[in-house]
Amino acid sequence: MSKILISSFKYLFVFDMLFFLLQGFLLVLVGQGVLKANKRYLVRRQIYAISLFHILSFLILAFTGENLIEILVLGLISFVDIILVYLIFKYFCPQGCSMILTSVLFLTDIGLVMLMRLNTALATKQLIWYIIGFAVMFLIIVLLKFIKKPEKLKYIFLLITITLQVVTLVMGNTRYGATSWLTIKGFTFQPSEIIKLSFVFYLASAFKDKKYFRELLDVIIPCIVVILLFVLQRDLGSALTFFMIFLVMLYVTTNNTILAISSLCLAFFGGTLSYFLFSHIKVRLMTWIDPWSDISNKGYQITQSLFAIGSGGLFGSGLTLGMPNYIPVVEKDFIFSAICEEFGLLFAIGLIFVYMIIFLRGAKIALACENVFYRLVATNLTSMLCFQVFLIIGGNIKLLPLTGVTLPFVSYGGTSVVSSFVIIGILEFICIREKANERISHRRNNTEEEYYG
Amino acid sequence: MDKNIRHLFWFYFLLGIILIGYLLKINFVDKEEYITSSYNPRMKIYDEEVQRGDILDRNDTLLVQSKKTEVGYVRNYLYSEAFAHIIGYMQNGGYGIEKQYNYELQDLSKEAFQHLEGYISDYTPKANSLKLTLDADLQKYSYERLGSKKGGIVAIEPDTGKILAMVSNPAFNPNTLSENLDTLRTDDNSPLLNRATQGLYPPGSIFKTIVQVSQLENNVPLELDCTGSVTFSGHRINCFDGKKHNLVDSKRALALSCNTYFATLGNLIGSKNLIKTSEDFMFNKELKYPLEYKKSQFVLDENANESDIGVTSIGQGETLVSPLHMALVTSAFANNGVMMKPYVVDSILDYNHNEVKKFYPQKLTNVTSPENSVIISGYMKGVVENGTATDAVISSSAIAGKTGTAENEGEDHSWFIAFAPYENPEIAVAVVLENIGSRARAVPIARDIIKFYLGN
Repeated sequence: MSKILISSFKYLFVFDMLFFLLQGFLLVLVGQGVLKANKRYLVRRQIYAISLFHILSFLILAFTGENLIEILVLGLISFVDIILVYLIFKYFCPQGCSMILTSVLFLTDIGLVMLMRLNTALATKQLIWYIIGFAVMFLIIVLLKFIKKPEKLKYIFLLITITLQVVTLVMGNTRYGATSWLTIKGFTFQPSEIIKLSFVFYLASAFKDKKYFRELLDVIIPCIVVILLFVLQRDLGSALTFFMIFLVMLYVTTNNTILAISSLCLAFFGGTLSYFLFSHIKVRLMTWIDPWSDISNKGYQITQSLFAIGSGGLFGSGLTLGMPNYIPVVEKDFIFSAICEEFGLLFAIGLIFVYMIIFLRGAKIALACENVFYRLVATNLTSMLCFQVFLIIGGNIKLLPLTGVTLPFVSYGGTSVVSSFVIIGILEFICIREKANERISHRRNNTEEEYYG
Repeated sequence: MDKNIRHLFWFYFLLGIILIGYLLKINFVDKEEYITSSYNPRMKIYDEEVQRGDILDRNDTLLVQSKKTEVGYVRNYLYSEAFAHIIGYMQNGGYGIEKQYNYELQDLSKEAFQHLEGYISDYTPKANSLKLTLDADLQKYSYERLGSKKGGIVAIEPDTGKILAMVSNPAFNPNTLSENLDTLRTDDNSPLLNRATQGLYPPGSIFKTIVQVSQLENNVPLELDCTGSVTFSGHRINCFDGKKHNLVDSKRALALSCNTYFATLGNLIGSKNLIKTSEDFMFNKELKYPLEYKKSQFVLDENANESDIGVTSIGQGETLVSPLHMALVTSAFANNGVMMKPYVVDSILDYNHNEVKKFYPQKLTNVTSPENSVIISGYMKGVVENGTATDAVISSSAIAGKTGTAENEGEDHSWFIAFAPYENPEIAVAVVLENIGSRARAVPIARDIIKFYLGN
């Protein structure tokens, strides 16, 4: 009986995703002035779409799961959480970007459902992190306006970055070949997520007034130091991400394409060097090129991922009907493959589009931003999210070698979830700030007109 | 700065499109290659939840079905040994069609609906079935005609690449495979080996057809007075039975299979050109055949000495070929030099045996020009009319072919490749009899198979 339910719900899920994306598309058109519609109505429909997804999935989980009470309780709490967050945002942050919020809500719900399916214990923890994350997001939106000139804290950001890196290097735990974890009083977290944020703020402060390459020398040195410290930690995924952000800053502020491209070439050179210096890079690269020759050992993870992705078809095998558990670390790095298998290719492509909504809105926020510092921050944060998503999904589908980053909002991991929410919080803050300033300058212009007639 | 941020906007979009594109690629282009790996745990589990589909021949004759018993569904192979190797099995990692088309045989075409039907009527939903290109009558006849002799037979439809029959002997009974697996695996006669696709034998004189294509392509006319043998740096190559063929041109040389002529010809053509022609004929290359097979190998050093070239030109030396490849070569000659891609599955059917997906013929390669192909086919007609294969003559149509006697460590292998009718070919056959001796015993077998097929 459950099989019929699950096989027919498959199509509903895809329809639901398409419906969600359609509302997003319509919202964009309304924003451009091409279409006349009530934005709030469209956003509400997105919430309906998320709710449908939530209810259908938990129905399936309830039917097939072991602990009915646990599933129903978690389903209820997460559902209340979604509605609550939506309402709080609607009434207290009316100038915030609702499209980013709904996308994040959908992503977290998909993540929660998938984790419930894979491992209910982890799902419970993840839900707690989501709630904390949303709280942090609201906190940032409220508190950031009290920091008047953040760019003045340039050196403090740099200090935080380097201190944390050195501490991790010296006192950190090594996992999966990289020394990127820190344990304080029994609580383990990834400092790189915090370093990400402090570095972004440092870069924005440092690049704020620069226009020409010669002015950059006092910035380049610290950047090289930061990246090298990551290389020393063997956290090459982070080194890569940070370098990309640096490149983005370079390109955006100096408008010098030649500079950007030559830095890219330098990066390739650095990459090749690291191939020879680090044995585990060599292994990663070899496994990426041909996992089939060592399918039982080094190639096991990526080949199982490919089997999972290939077995789903367009509409998936159906929630709980696939076998994603054969993929090692599926709850973290390979959760995308599990989604591909059970929800299907169409849904997974839709998921990529949901992420794209966030990136594109982030870019729009950056463009609309008058304050140069915040403009750079928005650009950085959006780019960072984008690269991370590209790296991890690319790794899952064997487009790129594995880099050990997580899928934001969906992969299991407290630090990953909270830092992603911090990023969203900052973006929403910038969005609200700009809309508020616009209102003020608009009013000022209007009063001037009235005055001068 | 605005402009640059806008550029980034498009860059993010591009990255997203790249991801989606690659995701689609691996699903639609690459998937078949690896999804049947025995490391994929899904294949085994689904088998228990769904009734595995049937396998039919091109005329809808049932070849394999899953029958319900007290212990669940059991695979019933209606024709046992005759189809054993090509249909294959699931045990021991799997082999053949059962393995490579496993996904299709477990796939439900109307999944939700079938589950609903199944729930209401209390039966297990049935997965899709396969309709093969094989002709069951021809296959059965070929297997029986082969009898107790060891060897392989492949029959192909030349203008489409459809496999009409594929037999390998010794065979085994797939219905009792599980019980007999250990015995079969340790049997010295290798009954589990699919000789038709994975057996590699020296080709012997059938290779001379390819040497003659090289002759035409490199414009090396030759007329020779055969004295029964030719010597290269101390190594003597004899004609069969030491026969003196006297004056031979290319047509006569192929008809009589004159070793002296071909050993001399090969040296005139040169190793480089021979290598190129062989590779044009897909030696050392992937045949794009969907089931398990071994590539034929042509190994000749560019600087090989005269004796090695001579020996290779008569089909001995290091060259090794499979019956599948030789059948493809024959069908290329029958098809004006166009070698079609070999395939065994004609279409996929749903649980009511209605067609869901059809597979179409595809060209593999042009082995040579149509003009050259017609010339060689003409010579092959001569082989049957007044050459070494007069045993192959039948009353109803003209057959073109080439015999081969391949020396090896044991008794000679007997080869015969042929196609018919000459004017408008409908079937191309390659037969090899392992260690049977040198009396061209493959010829009557191929003849009868062709006669049976054309007669029906």
